[in-house]
Amino acid sequence: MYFGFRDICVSYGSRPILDGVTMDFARGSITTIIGPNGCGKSTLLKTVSRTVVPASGEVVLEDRPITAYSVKAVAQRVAYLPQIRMSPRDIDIRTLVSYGRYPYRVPGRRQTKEDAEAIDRALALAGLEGMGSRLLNNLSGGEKQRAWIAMTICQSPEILLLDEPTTHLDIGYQLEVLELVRDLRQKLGITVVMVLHDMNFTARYSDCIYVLKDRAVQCRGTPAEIIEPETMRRIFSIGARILVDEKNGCPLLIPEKLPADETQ
Amino acid sequence: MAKRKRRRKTLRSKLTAIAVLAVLCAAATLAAVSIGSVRYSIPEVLDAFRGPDAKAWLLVWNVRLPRVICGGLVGVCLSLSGCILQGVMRNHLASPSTIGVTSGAGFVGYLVLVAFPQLRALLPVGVIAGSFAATMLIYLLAYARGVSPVRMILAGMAVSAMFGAFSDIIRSFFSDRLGNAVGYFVGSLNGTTWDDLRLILPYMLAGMAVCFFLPVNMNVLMLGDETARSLGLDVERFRLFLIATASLLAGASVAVAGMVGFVGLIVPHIARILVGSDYRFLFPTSIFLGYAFVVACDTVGRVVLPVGELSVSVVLAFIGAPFFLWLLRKKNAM
Repeated sequence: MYFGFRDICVSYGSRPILDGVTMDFARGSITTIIGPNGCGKSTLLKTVSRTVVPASGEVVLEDRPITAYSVKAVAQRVAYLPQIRMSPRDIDIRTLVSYGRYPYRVPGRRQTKEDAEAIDRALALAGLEGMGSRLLNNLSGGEKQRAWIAMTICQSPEILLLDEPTTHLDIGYQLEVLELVRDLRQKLGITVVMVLHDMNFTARYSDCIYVLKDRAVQCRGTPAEIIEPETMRRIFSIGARILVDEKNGCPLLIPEKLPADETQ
Repeated sequence: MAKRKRRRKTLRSKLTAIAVLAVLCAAATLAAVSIGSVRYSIPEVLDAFRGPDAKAWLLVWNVRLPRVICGGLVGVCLSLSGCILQGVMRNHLASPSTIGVTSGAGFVGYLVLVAFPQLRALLPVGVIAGSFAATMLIYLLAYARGVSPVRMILAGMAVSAMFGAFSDIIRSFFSDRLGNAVGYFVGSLNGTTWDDLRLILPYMLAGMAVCFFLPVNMNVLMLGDETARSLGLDVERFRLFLIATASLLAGASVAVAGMVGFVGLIVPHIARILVGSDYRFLFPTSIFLGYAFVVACDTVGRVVLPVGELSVSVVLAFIGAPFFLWLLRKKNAM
C-alpha cells in the first residue's frame, strides 16, 4: 500500500467514532471522502497528523505504519490542511508560506537560498506571486485559502490532505481552490485526499470517492459509480436525479426530497 | 517591488526598536547606579569600576550594581517567561503572576526556608520545582480540555490564592524559624548582594540560553496544534519543554527577588505592540524591555520617598494593575 488507512478504530471515551476503516489511495490520484455530518471524516484525517491516536489499526505510508517514521519525516512527505487553523494577526503571506519549510529546517541555521526558492515556487503555483508582503488577515476568503495551500505546497509533499477546503467560501472561490488542487496534481504529481460536502464538485474533481457512514466505509468507486440515486438515498436519505455533464465528463446531481415512506 | 520594500522597512523598524531598547538598558543601568541617597556623576560612576580604592566603589560596586543587575535579570526572566506562557496558553492574559506560577514558587520557597534553613543552595531548586508544579497544575486545569481564557484566569486565581494561603500559614506558624526571612518572597530587590546573584545566575542563564532555540518553533506552534504537528513539530513534547523553561525562568527570579508581579504580563504586550507577534523579534525585544523596565521601576522606588523606599513590586503594581484592567477591557485580548 502506498498510502492509506488499515483497519482504523477510534473512540472518544466509550463512544466509537471509527470502526475498522480501511482506505487505499492510489499514487497521483485525487480521492474524496464523503459522508453525512459527524461520520468521522475529519477524525480519520486527524489520525495522519497523530492528533487522534487510533485504538487499533494504522495509517500506512509506503507499506509501513506511519508511527515508524519520525514526525519530521512524515511532514516532509505528507502535508495536511486542517479545518481549524490559527494565525497571528500580523502575519504576512510570505512568512506563513515559509513555515512550510519547517520540516527541512536545521536548528540554528538561517533560511537558505533553497528555502527562498521553494517559497517563491509555492507562491507562484498558488497564484500569489508578488503578494508575499500582504497580511493574511486582509485577504479575501479565497486568497486566504490559497495562502494556506501555498504553505502546504512549500512543504514539497507527495501527499496532500485537505479537510473541507471549500467550506465558508463562495462558489467562485470554491471553484478556484479545487482548480488549484487539480493543477497541483497535474504539475507536481501530488496524491490528494480531501473531504468535501458538495457532491457536484466531488464528482467533477475526484478520481475516486470513498463513502463513510456509521463509522465505516460503505463503498468506494468512481464518481459515476457513487453519485447515483441508490447510493445517495442510502447515504444521505435523499432522492437524486442524475444528469451528465458532458463537457467535464462527470455526473451532475440534482437532489430531491424523498417521499415520506421512503426515508428511514 | 514596492511591496518588497515595505516588508524590508518593517524589518528595519523592528531591528531599530530592539537597538533602541538595548541602548535604553545601558542608560538605565548607568542612571540606576548613580542615583540614590548619594548621587554620583557619570565620570564618578565609571571611575568606581576601577577598583576598591575609587571613591564611589563601595556604594556603586558593592551595593547598587548587584541590585541593578539582579533586578534587570529578574525583568528579563519574567518577561521571557511571560512570552512563553502567553504562547503555550495561547492567551495574552497569561503571565507568571496572573496564573499563580510565582505564588507556587513562593510557597515552596517558604517550605524550603522552614525545613532546610541552612541549605541556601537548595532554595533555587525548590522554588523552581514549585513554579513548575504550579504551571503544570494551571495547564492541566485550564488547557488540557480546550483553550478557554476565562477558565485559565479563574484557575490561575484559585491556584494563586491557594498557594498564597499556604504561604501565609507557614509564615504565621513558623515565624520564629523564618526569623527575618518572613518577608523573603515579598517581591523586593532591597539588599541584593553579589552572592545572591551568583547563586541564581546559572539558572537564569540556562533559561535564557534555551530561549535562543525557541522562536521558530514557537511561531509554528502559534498556527494551531494540528498545523504545527503536520509541519513536523512534536507538539506535546515541545509544550512540556516550554512549560519547564517558563517555570525555570520564573522560579529563578522568585528565588532571588520574591514575587514580582506584572512584568511578565506587561512587557510581552508592549513588545508585541513594538515588533509584532513573530517570536524571533519578540524574544530580544522582551529581554531588553524587561531589563530596562524593572531597573527603572526599582530606581523610582528607591528615590521616590524622602525616607525609606518602595519595593519594586509596589511600583510595578501601581503601573501594572491599571494596565491589566485595560487589557481585560480590550476585547481582542481574550
